[in-house]
Amino acid sequence: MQWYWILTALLGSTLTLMFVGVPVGIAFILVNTVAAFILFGRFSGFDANMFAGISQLTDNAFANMAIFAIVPIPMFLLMGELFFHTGLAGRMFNAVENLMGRAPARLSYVTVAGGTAFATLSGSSMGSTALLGTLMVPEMTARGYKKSMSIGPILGTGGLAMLIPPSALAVLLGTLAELDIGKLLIAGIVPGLILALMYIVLIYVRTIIDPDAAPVYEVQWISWRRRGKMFFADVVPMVSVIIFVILLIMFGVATPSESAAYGSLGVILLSLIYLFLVPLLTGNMERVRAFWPEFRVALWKSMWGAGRVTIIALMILFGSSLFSNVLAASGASVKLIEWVTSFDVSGLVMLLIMFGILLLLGMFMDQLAMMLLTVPIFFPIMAGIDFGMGAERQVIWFAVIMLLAMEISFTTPPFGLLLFVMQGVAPPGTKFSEICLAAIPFMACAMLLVALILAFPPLVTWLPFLTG
Amino acid sequence: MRQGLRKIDAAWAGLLWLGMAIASVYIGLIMVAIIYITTFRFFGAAYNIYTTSFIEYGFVYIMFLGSPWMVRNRAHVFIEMLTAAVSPRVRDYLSRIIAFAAAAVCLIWAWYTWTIFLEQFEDTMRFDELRAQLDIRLWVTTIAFPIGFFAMGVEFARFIFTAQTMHVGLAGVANERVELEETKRDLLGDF
Repeated sequence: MQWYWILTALLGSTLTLMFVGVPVGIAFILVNTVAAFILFGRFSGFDANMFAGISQLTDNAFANMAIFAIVPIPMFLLMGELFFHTGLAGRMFNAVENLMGRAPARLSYVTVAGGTAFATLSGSSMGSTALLGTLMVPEMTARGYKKSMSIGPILGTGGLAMLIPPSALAVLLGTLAELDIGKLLIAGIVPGLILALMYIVLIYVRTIIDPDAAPVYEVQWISWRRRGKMFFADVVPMVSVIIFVILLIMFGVATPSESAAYGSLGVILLSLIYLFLVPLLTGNMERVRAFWPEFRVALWKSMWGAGRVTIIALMILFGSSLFSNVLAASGASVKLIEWVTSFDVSGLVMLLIMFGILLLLGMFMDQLAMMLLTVPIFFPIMAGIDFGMGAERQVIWFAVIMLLAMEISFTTPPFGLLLFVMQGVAPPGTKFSEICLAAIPFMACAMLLVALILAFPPLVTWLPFLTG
Repeated sequence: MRQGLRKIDAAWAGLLWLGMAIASVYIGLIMVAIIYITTFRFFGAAYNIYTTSFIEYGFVYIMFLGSPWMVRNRAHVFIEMLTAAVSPRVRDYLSRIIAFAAAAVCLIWAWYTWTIFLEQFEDTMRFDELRAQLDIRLWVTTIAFPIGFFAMGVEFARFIFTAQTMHVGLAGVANERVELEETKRDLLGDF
């Protein structure tokens, strides 16, 4: 059988199964089991061939999953969950809201900050969209915000979340593509800050052009002294933990796995200070007595939440290892790379084709499934193209573009999955066209960022390779 | 008869919850293990060499311990696009066919990985070659597969026969809805 038929059969049947509603992990297991039965089965009889196929896949799956490189996934998720369940994220969110004062479109800025924090730490821009769509949009609508200023920022935060460390999805992509996770996380910082700046400018410009888009409303005046206190008490310590984790990775003091574990410990220590030590020192014995029951619940919920997402990620890794294994055994991946690189097209065109495929896939599948399907194909292709920046820099650069592409695809009208999620949770009467229109400016910002990264690769590669 | 079945179902559900709970606690223990290794190494002290294996093997155990509970609670990633577009009657049939296919795959894997496990268990000279210095028997690497796949197969099979179907017909990615509901409940409860 020719390699392209094998590849078409593998991809076509997997996509079809996913589309009809078969769980993503099971779709991969099903297709790859059949493929392994054919490829690895060299014996007579169904039973012997099936045993050979599954035996081979089991060995490979264990070898790909029982590795230390996976540690950052659950650790960063645990850190994020701890932030939320101990109430530290809520404190920071409230402080940011209060610090904004009477600024026009304050809730839009708060949404960008809160949404980024939530999506970054939870690794789920869809969950973040649904949550903020439920909590913030009704509030903003009641305050007279237009849809472009309430829905738009929420849809935009997903892109930021993919870039700003510790992005759980970046860690997963790094694990799947066998990249240096530390470098990939740090590579997202500069593009993430640029994108955040673009969003802030976009919101600001819109309030200048159309002040009615986000009317100013009265909020309780908070003195500058109190704001300063709030900033140092409720924002600086939480942000410090994240910065501390990034610095440990950046300067090679600790591996991403170790940094993430210490980050989780840092959050636990912070919550001990806020929930136990401060009430104890201020004589609030009621809070001291409530500490242990609340802390125990928070710890449990954090482990449970991290466990749930980790299991999904591990299932995806399991499916990915089967898929890579079958692709390699069939020779399809090698032939595909030979075929792709035989064309007389520039590397940039090839990259844009991959970008287009990701945009297309984002219309009906989530990022995990997209990664699973494309990483075993795209990264070997990229390794065969030379952009003149060195192999190590190039894969990190491509990974950041891929993260952005996946997020943009989520909000691409008319089929982006986040648009449908938003419609499901937005206040009744919200038209789908309003959601699409609100998403376009923020999507355009992300597209502009991709163009900038393509034109100036050091935006991505400078920081991670600064320290060698 | 019905009451007896209910008791068995409750016990089975409890077992799945326990699996998920152990998987969750395991993640907390991985954090402790990494801090233990790093701290001891930093101070030049020797740490237990099995700690690394405890972490690495843990990922396979976590997946298979928690997955059956995830299937039961529809928390795995599956896309509801076609099932959201068809009529409830067609969705009902389609969902049961999908559940049947998923159950069949899981049970086939459970059977063959069980055979692999038995083969490795009986051969006392087979060790995990990747961690050769630790003399860990090879069956330790495969024991989770048949158990996890069997429990997942049973859970998918439930969706074939019970009134509840796997698909509910709301467009989107199923696990996100579960996560959203839990997060909303937690956040609104906490703050």
